[in-house]
Amino acid sequence: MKKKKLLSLLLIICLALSLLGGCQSHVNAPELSGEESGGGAESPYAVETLKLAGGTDWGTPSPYLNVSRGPGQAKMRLVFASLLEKDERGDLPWLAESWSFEGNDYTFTLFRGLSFHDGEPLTTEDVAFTIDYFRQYPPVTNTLGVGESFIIDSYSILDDYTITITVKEADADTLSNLGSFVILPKHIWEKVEDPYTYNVPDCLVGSGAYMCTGYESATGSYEFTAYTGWVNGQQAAQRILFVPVSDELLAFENGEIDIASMPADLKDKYMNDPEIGFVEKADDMGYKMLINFERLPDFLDISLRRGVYAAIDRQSIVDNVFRGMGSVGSAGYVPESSLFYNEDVVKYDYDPEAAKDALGDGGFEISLLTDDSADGISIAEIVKNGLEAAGMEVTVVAVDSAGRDDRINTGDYDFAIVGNGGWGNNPPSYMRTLFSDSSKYLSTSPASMGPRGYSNEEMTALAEGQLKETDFEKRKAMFQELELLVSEEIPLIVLANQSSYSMYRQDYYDGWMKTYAYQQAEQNRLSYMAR
Amino acid sequence: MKKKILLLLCSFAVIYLVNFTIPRLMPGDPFDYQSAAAGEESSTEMTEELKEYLRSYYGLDKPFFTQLWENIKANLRGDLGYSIHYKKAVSALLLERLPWTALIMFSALALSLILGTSLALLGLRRKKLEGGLYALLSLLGELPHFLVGILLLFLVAARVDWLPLSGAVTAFGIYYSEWDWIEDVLLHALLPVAAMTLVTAPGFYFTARASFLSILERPYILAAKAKGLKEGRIRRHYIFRNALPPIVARFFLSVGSAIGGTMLVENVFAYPGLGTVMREAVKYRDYPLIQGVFLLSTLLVLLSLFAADLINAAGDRRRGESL
Amino acid sequence: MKRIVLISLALLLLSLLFAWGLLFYPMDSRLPSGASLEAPSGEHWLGTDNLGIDIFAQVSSGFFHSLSIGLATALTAFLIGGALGVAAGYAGGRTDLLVEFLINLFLSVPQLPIMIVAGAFFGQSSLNIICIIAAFSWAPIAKQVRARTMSLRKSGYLVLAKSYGGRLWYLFKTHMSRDILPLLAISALAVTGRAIVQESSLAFLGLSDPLAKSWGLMIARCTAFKGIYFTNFWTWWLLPPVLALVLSTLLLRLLTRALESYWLEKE
Repeated sequence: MKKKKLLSLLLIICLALSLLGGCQSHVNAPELSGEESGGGAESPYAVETLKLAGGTDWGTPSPYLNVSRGPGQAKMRLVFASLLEKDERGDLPWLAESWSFEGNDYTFTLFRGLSFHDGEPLTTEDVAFTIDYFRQYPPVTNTLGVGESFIIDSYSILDDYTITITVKEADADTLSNLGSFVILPKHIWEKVEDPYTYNVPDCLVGSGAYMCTGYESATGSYEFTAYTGWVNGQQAAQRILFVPVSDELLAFENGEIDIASMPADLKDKYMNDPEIGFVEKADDMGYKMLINFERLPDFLDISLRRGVYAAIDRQSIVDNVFRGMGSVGSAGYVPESSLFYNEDVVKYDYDPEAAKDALGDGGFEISLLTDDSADGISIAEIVKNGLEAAGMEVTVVAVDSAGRDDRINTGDYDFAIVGNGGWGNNPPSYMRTLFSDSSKYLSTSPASMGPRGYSNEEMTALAEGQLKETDFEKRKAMFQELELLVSEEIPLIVLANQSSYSMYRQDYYDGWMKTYAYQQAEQNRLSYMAR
Repeated sequence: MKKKILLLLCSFAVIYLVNFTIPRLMPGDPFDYQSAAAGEESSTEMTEELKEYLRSYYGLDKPFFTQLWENIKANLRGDLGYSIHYKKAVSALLLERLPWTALIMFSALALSLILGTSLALLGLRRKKLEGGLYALLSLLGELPHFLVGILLLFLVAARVDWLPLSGAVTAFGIYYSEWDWIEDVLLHALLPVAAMTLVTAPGFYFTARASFLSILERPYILAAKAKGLKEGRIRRHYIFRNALPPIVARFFLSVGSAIGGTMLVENVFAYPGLGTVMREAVKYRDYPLIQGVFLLSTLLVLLSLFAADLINAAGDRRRGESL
Repeated sequence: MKRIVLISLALLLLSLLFAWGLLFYPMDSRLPSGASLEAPSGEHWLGTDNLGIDIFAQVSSGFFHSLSIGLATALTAFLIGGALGVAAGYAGGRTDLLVEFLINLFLSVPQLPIMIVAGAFFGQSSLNIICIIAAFSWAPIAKQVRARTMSLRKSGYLVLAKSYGGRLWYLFKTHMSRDILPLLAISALAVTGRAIVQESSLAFLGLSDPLAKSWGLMIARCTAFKGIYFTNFWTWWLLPPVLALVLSTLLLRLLTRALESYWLEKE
């Protein structure tokens, strides 16, 4: 203790000088009172606090200010509620108690007694306002579309609790899209003219089960507190904290955080520990290889693409790069663990001899683009070794991910390796932007961009058709047919899928879950609700 | 002096232009990256329409020179723009980060100055020590900042449990008094500052040593000695005071390399300063933020250089008078 | 002189060790050759990293990567700095003013931020890294050379030679090269050491060539490994590249200093 102070003293003068500007009070110790906190009988919460690893700034958890990636979005969605939610099996009431649809009309009935975090009531007025507002100013995460492709045509407010939303053209994803946009408080946002820069505390007045009560950008720490006015069920924790940690695993071991991702090399150690529970993200991360047919029209010959599959030792990617946590990718794209997987897809084995026969005479010299992550480069090395053994000449080009994205978007590559998450999402709606000729360039993300210079009418028909099919089983059958076709035609090479695990202490809190649509326990709102 | 000021202004203009141009020429734009990347759990799709919308919102669809002109006008008003990734005013973001970087950097520089000068004085008194000191410090001064940081992290911080591994304050720490908080901040700053100081102090040692040696040869010191003044008095009144300007100038001259060092050390200790934010800004192609960090560090360095010049000039004048 | 030989010998030994590691050591520096994070053994001298790639092989290839980047940078800086310095010092007038401005500009910009941005902009190939580091290394050389050339120009015998109608190249060859070249060479050697350090710093930030097994990258990968603090993996994963980096920069620095003092004595 003394040593500590002595060392510290040295720095005090400088500190005083440089922090003169920021001299607000930092005293925040809770006043001692007789009240005992914790999960006692009186507390309605299962646990007092849930602590997660923070440390990255994911932006203010508000619809126009959050960082658009998964963790930023998930924090915003804790604070702002949408009409519906999803659980392991299907759709769930969230702000809307019930819903129905007929043709293009979708009718939602809200719970009674809903309110925003400032106590103002939440009514269909607010829902209608949000639709108009989002039409004018698209939020960061947007399921409603922009400009011409805005999916809602009109709405009519039946009463304070019931609203009918009419879409331009109903399809299989409409309910999910309508159910997932978040509701803004009209009384705050109607005065706001530039939502993208509106970051006064008001922008955090949300409609969700948790309020954002603390956010520090520089350290990436967040505090969420259960909102007592929430009517649809009970929150599991009184507070959720995202705390910066220097080492996630060390912090988990020390009990500083309650859930952490498990490194592959320590899998056995934790798997055998009865106190530890897991949420598996099966095959959720996937790597594929795109071939730029515009530059390499020779590869439109299917025997060459079969040769590429035969040349790559994909099992070694799983073993060496993923350390065994994953599987060789299905040639039909949708991973084996998915609800929508088709067992009949063509399987391609590692066969260096066959690869040599197919590729050896071509004299191909290609460049292989990858991002500069450790995994990306290792996979590129494995692919390169396989292709070179089969008689091709391969140069690996590694650039940072922004640079890689730019090259893929502009078609500046021969072969390119792309890794992204979300392969385990259900339904596998990514199949549409990957394999339909008409939707291929809808997205600007290389993760969901289809092969360049390749077209296939049958694939397009299936990829577009599934969206119109509202019957679950029929839609699933269409997806499976598409998978089979993809595995036969090989428009792109699926390399491997990586699984990961989140682990937590069961005796402390075991409400972590994944939905049928989305596997990320830390990012699901229901993980924080008593169920 | 006029020439110096002109030079500084020209440098600033060139750097400003480069700083404006380079990020815009980088492959990828800020909205591409928002879409998805390897290692991310979820990918948020962004349609071309939304991207266009945002591009025009941030004025990135305008011609280059229009953007430049508007940028200059805004900067002159003190408006540094709006961060695309963090969705905050750049000036607010920088204000959050700057105190931490300044804390590390100026503490390290001040400590280095004190340490370097004391060691140089010690060396003057004990000739035996000097040889070893000189060799040791000249080696230490060559090491990269981040390496010293990593060594401290693994050899010190990971071994003792009262030293934090990263960050600037304990997250959601509970403080019973203002002193608690200060102690927490100091503990977090300790290793980053130590890493910086170890590498920076040698430079001060050499400057101080050279300065002392040159003063010792001055005729007025000899005169003072001849007058029979006490060693201590000579040291205090003559040597120390006259040798100080170059050392203080060194302080300001070191700001340039210290900024770089601090940025690296911050990345080692995940310290929430300008270095960590700069790295992210580049990764996300957040033009306004890159420009902001850059502008700030350039200003800091140029002003320090100017200060060093002023001090040197003043020192020369005084020395001229005392001769 | 004795010190110079001694240090050079040490440097040579180090290079030989790593050359052996590169050429004759049976493990590959790119491909996994063992299990993940194996401790040092007879088979893997320094163990393996998380991907099962041999550490000694990586450190060895890292040495030549670093050294070649350092030397290439030094050569570039040597050429630019020397040429500009001589030109400015010899020609004077406007040329001198321009060069002086450039020198001051490159000395005054905050280097690391510019390097970060430039590294991301130009892409992460070794060639670009060399150019970027060289761009920030020539200025001190040019400054030194300029001052030296100026003093030479003013000194008597050059003026005399010029008045006899000596041509520029001839003047340079006979008179100036003797005085300036050693200085240039020593500065270039110092640049080599510094370039190695800077390359590893950039690699640590992930801005150097991601395909090269550079020491900075190895260090970055190791420190980013989850749970590294509470295992002893770092003793064979982190320490070898760190020590190799420290050792080679220090040896280079010592050599520079020894040469400097040798040259000063000779003068």
